[in-house]
Amino acid sequence: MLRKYSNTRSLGDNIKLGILTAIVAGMVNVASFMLFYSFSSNVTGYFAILASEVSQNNYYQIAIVLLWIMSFFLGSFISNFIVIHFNRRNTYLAHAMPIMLELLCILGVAIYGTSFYNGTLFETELLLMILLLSMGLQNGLTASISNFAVKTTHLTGATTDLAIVFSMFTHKKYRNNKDIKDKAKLLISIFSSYLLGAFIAAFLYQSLKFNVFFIVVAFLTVVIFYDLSKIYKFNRSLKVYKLKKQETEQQNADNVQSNSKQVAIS
Amino acid sequence: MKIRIALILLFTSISVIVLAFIGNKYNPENEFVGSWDEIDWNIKGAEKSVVTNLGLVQPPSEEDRDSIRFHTAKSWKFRPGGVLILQDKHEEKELEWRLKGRGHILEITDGVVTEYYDINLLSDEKIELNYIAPSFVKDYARLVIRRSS
Repeated sequence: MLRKYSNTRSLGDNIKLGILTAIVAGMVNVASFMLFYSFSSNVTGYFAILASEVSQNNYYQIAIVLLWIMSFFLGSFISNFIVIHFNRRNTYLAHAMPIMLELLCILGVAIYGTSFYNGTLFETELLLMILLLSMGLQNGLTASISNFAVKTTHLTGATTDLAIVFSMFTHKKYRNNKDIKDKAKLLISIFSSYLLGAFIAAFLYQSLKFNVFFIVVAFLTVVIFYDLSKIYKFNRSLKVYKLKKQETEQQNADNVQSNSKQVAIS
Repeated sequence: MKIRIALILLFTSISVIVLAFIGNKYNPENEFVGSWDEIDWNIKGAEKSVVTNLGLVQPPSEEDRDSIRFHTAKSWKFRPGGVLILQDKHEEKELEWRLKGRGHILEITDGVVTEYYDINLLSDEKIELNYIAPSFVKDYARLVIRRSS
């Protein structure tokens, strides 16, 4: 899911990453709306709101919305910054670090919300800023490593892409095109997962409130450890293979030595 | 590369400090604190609906108008720390009030029933609140309160 980069990624890699991160995005968005009455990844909407607040001279709201937009921008920036600067040293780590940062952000919000939150406006806006940062980190990573094929919080773009794909299916020429079919599968998976995440958060919110974010943290942990377990198994298998090879070579060397001794004796 | 990172961090820090300063100066919570008198409660949605205009449904009576919202009072006292005191002719209720979102939503709750209002106008003398129906319809009813003299 996280080990491969750009064109080396398969459809399966993109679908797995898309599903898990879309569930996370859906849950975080719905939970933030129900807790704070604002979305945590609706950047298109925030630009429109910014224009509206500027026209009404609401300086406070202008400042807050600008901070939120910058927060999302910063998240995406940090994500791609880590990927391009650390990709050569360790691909898995370069791709996992933004998810780890996202996990820390959401975990921080969960812990603060359950233990210290008093409901003041300052706390609300700060927590939303952190959630926007986390969504920026996620969107930046998924778009960057999948060559913009996977977009889990940018549903405007995904809806546009899906509509284009469906319109292409109306033409005989594109109906059996494997790339277009794969894109349709990926987009439908992302939509379904986002909705699933949104439903889960909406149902669980009443009883769990801020604890919903702990479930989000669990999903992100699966994303991080999925590839780590495969790397661990691969490294272990490689080690075992090398040991066996050494033993075989040693045995062969011993056999050759004993054969040569026998020949010498005879 | 280190210089670039430093410049980016510097720019981000300055922007955050400036925006935080603006936020602190113009915090809408400070505008709410004080005593206010309710001067108008007007249901807009029901009167403008097609079914009432065609005479299919009777528009709500004066008593029904108030039944849409749970928390009613003539005097509203917003205290710091999220305490709201509603005073009517014979009773006084203590509720909690909070601003949500970017400071554009007022939430009031008694722990059991929670109501949300979209803040349409917030000034020194007057506050206009649009009642948000459970279906998230904002332009349903308007509450206007004026600062007590």
